[in-house]
Amino acid sequence: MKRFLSIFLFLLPYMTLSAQQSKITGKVVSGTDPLPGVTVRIKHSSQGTVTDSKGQFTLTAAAGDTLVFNHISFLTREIVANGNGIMNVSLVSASQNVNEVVVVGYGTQKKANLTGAVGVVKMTDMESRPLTNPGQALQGTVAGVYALQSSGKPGDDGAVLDIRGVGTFGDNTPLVLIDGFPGNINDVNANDIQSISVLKDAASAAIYGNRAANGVILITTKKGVAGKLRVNYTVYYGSQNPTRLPHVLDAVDYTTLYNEASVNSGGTAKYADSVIAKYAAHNDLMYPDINYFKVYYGNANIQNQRLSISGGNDNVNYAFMLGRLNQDGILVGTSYKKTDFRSNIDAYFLKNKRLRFSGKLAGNLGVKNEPTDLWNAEWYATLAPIHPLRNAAGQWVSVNGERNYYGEIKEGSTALTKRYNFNGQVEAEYKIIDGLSAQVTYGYNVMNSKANAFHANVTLYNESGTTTNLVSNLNVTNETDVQTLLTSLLKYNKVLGKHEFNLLGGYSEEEFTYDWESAYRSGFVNNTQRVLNLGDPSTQTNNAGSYDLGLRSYFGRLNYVFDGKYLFEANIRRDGSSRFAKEHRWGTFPSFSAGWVISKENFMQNLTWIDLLKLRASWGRLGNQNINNYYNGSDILTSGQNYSLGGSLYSGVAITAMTNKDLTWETAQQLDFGVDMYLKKNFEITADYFDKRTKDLLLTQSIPLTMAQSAPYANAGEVQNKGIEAAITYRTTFASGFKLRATINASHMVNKIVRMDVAEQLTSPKAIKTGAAINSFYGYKMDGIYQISDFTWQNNSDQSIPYAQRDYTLKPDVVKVSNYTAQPGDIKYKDLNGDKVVDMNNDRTIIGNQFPKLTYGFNINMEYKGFDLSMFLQGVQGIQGYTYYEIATPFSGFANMGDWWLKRWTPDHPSNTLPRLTLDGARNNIHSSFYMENASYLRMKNIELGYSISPKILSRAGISSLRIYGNVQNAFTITKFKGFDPEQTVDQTRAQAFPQVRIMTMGASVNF
Amino acid sequence: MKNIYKITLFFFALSILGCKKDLLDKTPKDRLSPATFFQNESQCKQALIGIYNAIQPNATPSHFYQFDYMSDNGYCQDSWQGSREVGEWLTNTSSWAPSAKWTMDFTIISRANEFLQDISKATVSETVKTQMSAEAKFLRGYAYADLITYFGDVPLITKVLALSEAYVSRTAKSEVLTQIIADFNDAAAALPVSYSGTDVGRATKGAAMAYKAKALLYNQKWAEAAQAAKDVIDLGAYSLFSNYETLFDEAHENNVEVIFDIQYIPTTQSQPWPSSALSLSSWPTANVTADLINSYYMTNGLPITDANAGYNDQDPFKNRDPRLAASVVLPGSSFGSSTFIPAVDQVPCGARPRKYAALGIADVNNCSLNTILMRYADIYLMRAEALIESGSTDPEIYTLIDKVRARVNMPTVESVEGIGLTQAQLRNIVRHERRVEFYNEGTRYADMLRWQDKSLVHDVYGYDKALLSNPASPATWTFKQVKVETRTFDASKGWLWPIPQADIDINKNLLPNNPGY
Repeated sequence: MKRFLSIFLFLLPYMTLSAQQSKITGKVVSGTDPLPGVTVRIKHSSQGTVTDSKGQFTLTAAAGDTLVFNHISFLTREIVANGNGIMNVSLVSASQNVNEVVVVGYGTQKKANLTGAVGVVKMTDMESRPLTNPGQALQGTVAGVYALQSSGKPGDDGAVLDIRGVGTFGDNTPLVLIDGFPGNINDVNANDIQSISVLKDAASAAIYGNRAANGVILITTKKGVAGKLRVNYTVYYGSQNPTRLPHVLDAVDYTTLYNEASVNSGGTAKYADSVIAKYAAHNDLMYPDINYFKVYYGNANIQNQRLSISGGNDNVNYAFMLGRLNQDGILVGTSYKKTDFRSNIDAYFLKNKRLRFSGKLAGNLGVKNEPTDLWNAEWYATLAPIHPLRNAAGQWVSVNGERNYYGEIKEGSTALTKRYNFNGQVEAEYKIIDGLSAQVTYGYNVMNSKANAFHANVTLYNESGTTTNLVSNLNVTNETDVQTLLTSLLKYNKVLGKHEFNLLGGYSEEEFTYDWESAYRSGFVNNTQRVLNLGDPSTQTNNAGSYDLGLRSYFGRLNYVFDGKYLFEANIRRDGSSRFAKEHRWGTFPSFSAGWVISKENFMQNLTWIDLLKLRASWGRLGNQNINNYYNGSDILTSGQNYSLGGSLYSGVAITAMTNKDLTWETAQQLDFGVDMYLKKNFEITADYFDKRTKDLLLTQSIPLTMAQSAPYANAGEVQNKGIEAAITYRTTFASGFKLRATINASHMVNKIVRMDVAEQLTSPKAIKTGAAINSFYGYKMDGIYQISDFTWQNNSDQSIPYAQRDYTLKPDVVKVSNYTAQPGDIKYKDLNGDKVVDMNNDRTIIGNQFPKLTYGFNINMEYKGFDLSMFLQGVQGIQGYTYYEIATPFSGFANMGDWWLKRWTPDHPSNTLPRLTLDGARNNIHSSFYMENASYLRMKNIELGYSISPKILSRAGISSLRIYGNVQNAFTITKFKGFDPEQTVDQTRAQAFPQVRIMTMGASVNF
Repeated sequence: MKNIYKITLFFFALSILGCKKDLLDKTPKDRLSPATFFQNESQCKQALIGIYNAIQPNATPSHFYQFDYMSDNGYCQDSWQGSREVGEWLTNTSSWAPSAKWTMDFTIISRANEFLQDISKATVSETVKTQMSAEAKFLRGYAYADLITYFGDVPLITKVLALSEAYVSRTAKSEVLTQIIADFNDAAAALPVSYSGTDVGRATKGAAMAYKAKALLYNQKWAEAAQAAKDVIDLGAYSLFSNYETLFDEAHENNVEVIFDIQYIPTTQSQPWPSSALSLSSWPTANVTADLINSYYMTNGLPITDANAGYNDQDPFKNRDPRLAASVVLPGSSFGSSTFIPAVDQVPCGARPRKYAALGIADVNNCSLNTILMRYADIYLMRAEALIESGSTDPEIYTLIDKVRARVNMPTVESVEGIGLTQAQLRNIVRHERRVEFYNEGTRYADMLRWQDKSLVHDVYGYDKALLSNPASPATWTFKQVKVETRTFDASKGWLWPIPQADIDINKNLLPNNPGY
């Protein structure tokens, strides 16, 4: 028992005492250059120092102690003190590091021995970026990973991650494992991450089979290492503002154009000249000229602090991390506060550390505040400038007699969500005999989210002189998501001469349960006490729901290396999922990969400029069951289909969804060929070709509307993602001490639906069509504008008849649009089948792709005399965006219009690109290439300048390092896109959006 | 204890935390399965309620008042609400109104078919089965009658279809009508004449008979329609409610005139968004056309255009049919707690609906006013119309119309229009009576479709609002009509709506579409 107690005293820095101490002095160099800032430490002890500006150090150690020389840019070296008191050490640049170890499934692997396509993110580059989410670290850093930040909203600014394209219609999110536990990438603080490995091809990901079809992201958090207690504190403060907001019309232009549209639609001018003059005068609150973007969006602050403590001794290593983020949002009423902690403890027992216990605890509390009607707030930010915000009496004015979301938010219509996440894991590993070990991991993750969404009691003034009273109400929702994991592994390693074997066998099971409850009341006593009991009890309602899911798997892996030259790996996995009916539940998924390190062959030895050349090939299959329908084994009656009779409510049920009981696993099959090269000690090149085919696609199969049920899932067809990806890194240190590292990566990919076993879904603006990319934009192709010359009118087209009084008839040889009586100035569409009539069934086609053809990133880091500068550019090419409604479509709802509409078609200025303005939806609401935009962009994602204060000065203050820096995220963007931001949510088709943010921060990082 | 035992124990303990035997055998936790459901009367009733649930509007353009906006009675300038393009005869295959109606009616049909299949196997008494099946058939007939009015030929589905049978094609309208009449006959035979307490609102014998009359009338089966309407009268279950204005109040729900309605209660089952309170009293989009206002007669029974009417176009609301003031918020009239001043209101036409507007309601999003779908006055006017169209000039026609007029103290047909009128004269009288009696009850547009009267599709006029601005002295107001919208009948499209593109995209068997689409 005493022994166990002592384990828990790990907080005390553990000191090892040695006899016969003597002073050691020395110099650390790289080539001939002295290396300042190298940590020199006695192994298994807390003693250590840092080299000065001349690379020199002094330390007290005993003969036989091992000295560890550590620097971020160089390989760590361990040297045993010989007792003569002098130790000159030369370090080798980490760029030559062919012995780098990479985290792979259930273990680590020497990078040189990898046979699969694994991308690694160097978190050292990220330490001072104001990443509010680790997904942002993957943007442009790993070839083949498309990380898209869909929004700048605090608490919801995570990246959408696609590894090697979208291969499924379901959830395309890769499996994220945080220290081996499947989880949400948002639940780990970016600063706590030691490394990120991205398993891209089937062979690397295969060991995670049932959830790995979209690729796997392995996140390893920081662990303690033996040595003295290390304390790190980082802090940054900054300011955020929208990257870009569309240019819109002012009140005079808006009303003038509205009148024109009204006349074009057969009505009369709505705004008399005297009224327009009132808008122009800017002196009447009821005749305003408001840029609503500026009302809803503004600058916001961000601050982040993090403290980590780590250390350990021979038997116990520990790391504790604590972080706090405090971010205001650029949208009124938004903010996010997150506090998180993480602790990793490893304890070793028995002789030769044969038994290891590890405990990992992590948790976070995220408090998110946002408008209760968030979508509507974003929508009202696009309002036309003529809608009054407040009247002279200070009352909020309703828009069109409806709402005033800004006023409501200000009065308290906000939703507060508290999300608690807790993750705990225990793991034990026992080395049975040399090379053979057994490992059991048990963990669980519980997420609880409590939302309190309030609508304040607000009296709105209507332009008609009446008032509208908005009754207060509160919706409270609790969600609990529990996930348990059990994994048992048996690992065996054996080296026999030139033969190196690695065997792994395992079993895992996962269970998920999800429950929610909600409750509602209206008519609250006031707008500040948002607790259910203060609402009117006669209005109360409540609801609840529950889902669960079970997964079970058996898996094995064989890894064989001969002479460090010939590499082979095989995986097999058998997976079961409760999502499918009993007969279709199990799937078996194999994979194989091989590598050949050519540079180790004798015939290559003369080519000294090649440090490493390796060819890789892999093939494998993975299963996917990740769809949002939990139960496909039985028909389902949905409750809540209620009705009232004679003043009483009756519960009702109905079949609202169709079920497909034959549904089974979607299979992603992937072929990969790759090459890794290290050249001339400075260049590192990786390139891959891949062909990923997802078969038996899980897709909601459209069923006729006459069935009046929502569509079931079907194994619907096959999608191909084919592409190449490459990354080149160049590192060098010049004689002057100037260090440079540059990385460029790019990937090109083609996504194509190869085959459909169910009907194509030819809907606009997005369709599922064989031969096209998944969810391509689909609609008519714009073919210019109908001009006056395309028509005849009364009196043999008498030119003297005023334009507005002409009765236009289309000339017989001009293409007409069915459903639509064209007038001069309307959009003309391409007649694809040549029958002179454009109609929905014959003349729609693919008009755009929402996935980029090319994604690329360029990273450059420079260091000189304590200064460091890094820049990160990221771009996509060959991608389209669809912007519709709001500012894009003329007079959509109450929205303003983009200022490009000033160049619209008029009889005097017959544009061939922008149509005339009308008010009716019949002409404006046709999905066509007119609303397509080029969404390619090149963005200065990050630029940072830092300065590290000389360790010599710092050491007097007991500080081992201190760096201060300034950083700009999303500094500028080059794009032709007219909407909010080209980097918008996949599947977004409306113009309404939460803008991206530019973040400017100043920060410091200090180590003790 | 030896280390090896400790280790073994630890691994064993960790292992038993997992290893659930039934890990993969999951069944829905919060939902029910039809295979195990229909066990007793209360469960069958829940499934029946599920069909009634589907008669509520499913989308903005399927609310009853939108069908007045589509007609010459009204106008909604917000194109997003879906009725504007319909009124302008610019409907296309992607328009919202047709797809909303299509989906709504087929939801009722699909749920009724599922119910009829499942209840046949349920372990409940025959009495319960017969009564509930009759309600399901009534609702199926109700949905099909609506479908053929708007779409003509539609797929006739009377059983639960497997996915392989789901790609249906269209059935001739006449064949669908036969099924509708059979459903209404079956329903009428089994349903009770009335309900009490918390069953009020369920389909009755009278409702089945009334909808049968309506389906026959809408499909030009004049003699049968006249008889079916007479059967409702002979049932003796209904009479006209004494006060026309309060007939539509929440306080007088389920009154003697109501034959079938959509029932609402506050909070848990209030009108779907946008409720009529929101649409008619709050949003400035509910326009009443000058044409409708002008169509109300003077209290002396004469149209305003008659030289002897005594109509003053600058005091236009004096001595008018009481139904005008009861149905419309006229300039200068009370509008909730204030006076309606068109110049400061945003409706372009200068008048708003009053009927169903729930003016002064505390929460416009929580309106629980029932929507009457069929009332007894319609039976009188349907029988009158059926008789007229069948060639009769029987005095009963006069009596039927007079009964409707008498409630609002309007003079009889005989005393104003005279006796011995021709079919054409009587037709005009009954059509006019329908318009003023049923304004804002969602029937006008369907009437236009079945009458196929092109003259009813014309530009929309309203009052020039700017001239109705001084609240202190309405006497100084100038009433001048101005055009607010162009409407042109498109003969190529005619009188049918298109089958929605959303369904054609999935099911090509629905082609060809109706002419003009």
